Amino acid sequence: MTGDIEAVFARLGGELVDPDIVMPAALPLELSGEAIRSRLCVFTDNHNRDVALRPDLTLPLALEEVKARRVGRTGACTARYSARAFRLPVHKDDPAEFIQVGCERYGYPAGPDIDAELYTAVVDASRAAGIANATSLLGDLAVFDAFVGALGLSNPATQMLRRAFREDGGVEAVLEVQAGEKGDFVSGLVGVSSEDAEACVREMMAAAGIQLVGTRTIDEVITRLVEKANNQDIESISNESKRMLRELMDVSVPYETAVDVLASLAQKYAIGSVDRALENLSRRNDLMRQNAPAFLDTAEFAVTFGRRFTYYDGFVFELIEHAADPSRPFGAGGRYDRLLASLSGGAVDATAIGGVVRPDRLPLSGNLS
Amino acid sequence: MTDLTIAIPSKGRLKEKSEAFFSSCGFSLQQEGGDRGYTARLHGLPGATVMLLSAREIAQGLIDEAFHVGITGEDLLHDLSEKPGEETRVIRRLGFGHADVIVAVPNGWVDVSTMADLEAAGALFRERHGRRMKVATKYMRITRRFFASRSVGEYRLVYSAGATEAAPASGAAELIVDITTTGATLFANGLKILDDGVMLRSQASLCGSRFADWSDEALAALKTLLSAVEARPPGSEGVLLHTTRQVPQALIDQLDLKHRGFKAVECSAQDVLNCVQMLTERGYGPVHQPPSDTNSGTGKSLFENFVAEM
Repeated sequence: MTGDIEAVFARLGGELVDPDIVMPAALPLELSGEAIRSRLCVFTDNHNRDVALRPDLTLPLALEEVKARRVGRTGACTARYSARAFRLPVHKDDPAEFIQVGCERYGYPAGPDIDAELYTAVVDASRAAGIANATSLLGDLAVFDAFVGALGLSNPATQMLRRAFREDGGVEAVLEVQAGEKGDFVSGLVGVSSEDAEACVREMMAAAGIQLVGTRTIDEVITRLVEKANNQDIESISNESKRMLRELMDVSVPYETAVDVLASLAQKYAIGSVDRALENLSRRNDLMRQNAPAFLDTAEFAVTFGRRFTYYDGFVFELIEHAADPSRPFGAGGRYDRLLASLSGGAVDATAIGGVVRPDRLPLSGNLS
Repeated sequence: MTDLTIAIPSKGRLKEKSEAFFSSCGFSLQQEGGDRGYTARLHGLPGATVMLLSAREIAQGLIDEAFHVGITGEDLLHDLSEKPGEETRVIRRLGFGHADVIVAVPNGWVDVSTMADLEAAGALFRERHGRRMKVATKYMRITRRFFASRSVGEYRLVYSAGATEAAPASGAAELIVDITTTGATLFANGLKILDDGVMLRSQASLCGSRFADWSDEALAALKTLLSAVEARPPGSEGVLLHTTRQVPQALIDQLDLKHRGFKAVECSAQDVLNCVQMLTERGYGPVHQPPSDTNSGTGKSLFENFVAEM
C-alpha cells in the first residue's frame, strides 16, 4: 500500500530523502510555540540539552533546504519521503511513531496552480491506497490576512489581529476589549515624538528608581508606549470593522460557494483589495474540481480552518473519512511560503508547499486487500 | 490497599499545620520510627495508614491513584495533571500554605501591565530579537493553559526549579511565572505582578483521588475522618478577602490582617464586616469573599459529595 502512495508522489519528481530524526527541541518550540510541547517527543541528551524526535518531515527538510540554499541552491526542487515521524498521541488509538508518505516542494511559483497540483497528488495517493470516499476540509490562511489588511487599520492593530487569528478565541478576545483608561503617564505621551517620548520614559524611570534588566530594550518599551498613547491598538478598530471580522470568522461553507460568500462580504462592507485572494481561491477551486473531484462532494471551506497550523500561511487542507473523527485526518497539506525565510533569519527566501498521506490512518474499507 | 491511605507533607510548616489540622479533628499523629519515620498512624482513626511525603509527591500520587487522600497544594495538582479536576477533588481547603501562582515582569517594562500588553510586547520582542521571549517557571502546564486562555502565544517556557525570580536579571528568561505569598521577593528582585496575572490562588487542601482503589474499609475510615472534619469547632479560622488593589503592609498591620497573596488578605471571622468596610473606604474595594469551601451550599456532607464524584 505504501508503495502505491509513493508511486503517485513520484510523479512530482525529486529525490526520495530521509533527513535527521533528532533535532534540538528548541527548533520546533521556537517555531510553533508552546502549544505543541505536549505532542513533542522530547528527551534530554548527555549534555543536558533538550532534543526532540522530528514531529513531521516538513521541519527537518526545510532545515536541509535552508542549508542547501545558503550555499547556492536556487530554482525549484522537490523532496519526497516515505519516513517515520513521532508525536505523542492525543487519541488513544494513535501510535507515537508513524509513517508519513509525501513531499515538500520549494521555489515553485506561489499560486493556485501548484496548490492544486499538490492537492491532486495527495488525493490520488489516497485513492491509489484504496480510499473511495472521503471529505476534504479546505482553508486558505491568506484570506483572513487579506481582509484584515484591507481594513486600513494601523500597523499594530493589523498585526495584533493577525496574531490573534492564530490563537483559539483570539480574535473575539481582541474585539471584546473595551478601550480602557490609559493612565496619566501614557496620556502624557499623546502626540509626542519618539525622541521626546524616550526622554520622558527615561526621566520617569530614573525618578522611580526603575532599571531595565534583561534582553528587552528601552526602545521596545517606548515603541509600545507610543503605540498605546496614539490609539494604535484595538481602539482604532471601528464597530463596522468588528462586525465584518466577526462575520468573516464565521464563514464555513460548502467549498463551491466560498468565493461568492467572501465576495459578497467584501461588497457588503465596501472592502477593496481582496480580489487577488479571491481570484486565487476561485482558480484553485476550479483546478481541484477538474483534476481531483473525488473528495469534493461534501467538501467544506472555513476561514478559520488550519489557523493552528503554526507556520502555514496560505492554502491548507485535510482529508478525513466520512463521519470519522475529524481530528484524525489521513491526508493533509499546505503552503508555508515564509518558513524558509524565518528559519534563516531572512537569508533564504523561497516558496514552499507540502502534503502527506498517513497510511496508518487510512480507513480500512472493504476494497483494501 | 484495604486501609485508607493518607499522604501528608513530611516536613516543615506544612507538616506542622497538617498535624495540627488532624489533631483539631481529634486524631493525633503517631509516626512510626520516631519523628523521621515516613509512615504513621492517626490515633483515633483505625483503618487508616499515613504516609509522609513531599507535597509534589503527594499531588502526583493522588493523580496516579497511589493513595486515597492527601494534603497538598492546589498549584501542584493543577500543574501535574493534564486535566485538572479530572483525577482528584479538593475536599476541604485548610486555610494554610496560601500562595498565588502569578505572572511577573521586570518593573522596567512600564508599557506592560496586563496579559494583553504582554502579548503585544512578546510579538515585538520576537520581531526585534529573532526569538520568542522566555518565561522561566516550574509550572509548565498551568502556564501553558493560562497563556493560551489569554491568547498569548509568543513565548517559550524555560524550566526553573528554584530562584526563579532571579531569571530576568541573569538573562535566563525575560519574565517569570512563580508562586508568591506576599510578593516581597518579587519586589526585591525588581519584578511586578501583572494586573490580571494571578493564574491560580492556592492553599493547602485535603484532596481525594477519585479513581483510587476504594475498598469498603477505606470508605468507612474516610467517612469517620470527614465527619470529624465537619464537626471541628469553628473559630480560629480566618476569612479570606480578595481586594481590587494590593493592600500595603502598613494597612494590613493597622487592621490586624494577614497577607494571603496578591490582592488577598485574611481577617478574623468576627471582623469581616468591619474589614470589608474599612478596605472599601480606603479604595481597595470592591472586596470579594471567595467561597471558603468547595462543599459550601450543596447541603450534603463532605463524604457524600466526594463519594458522589468517585
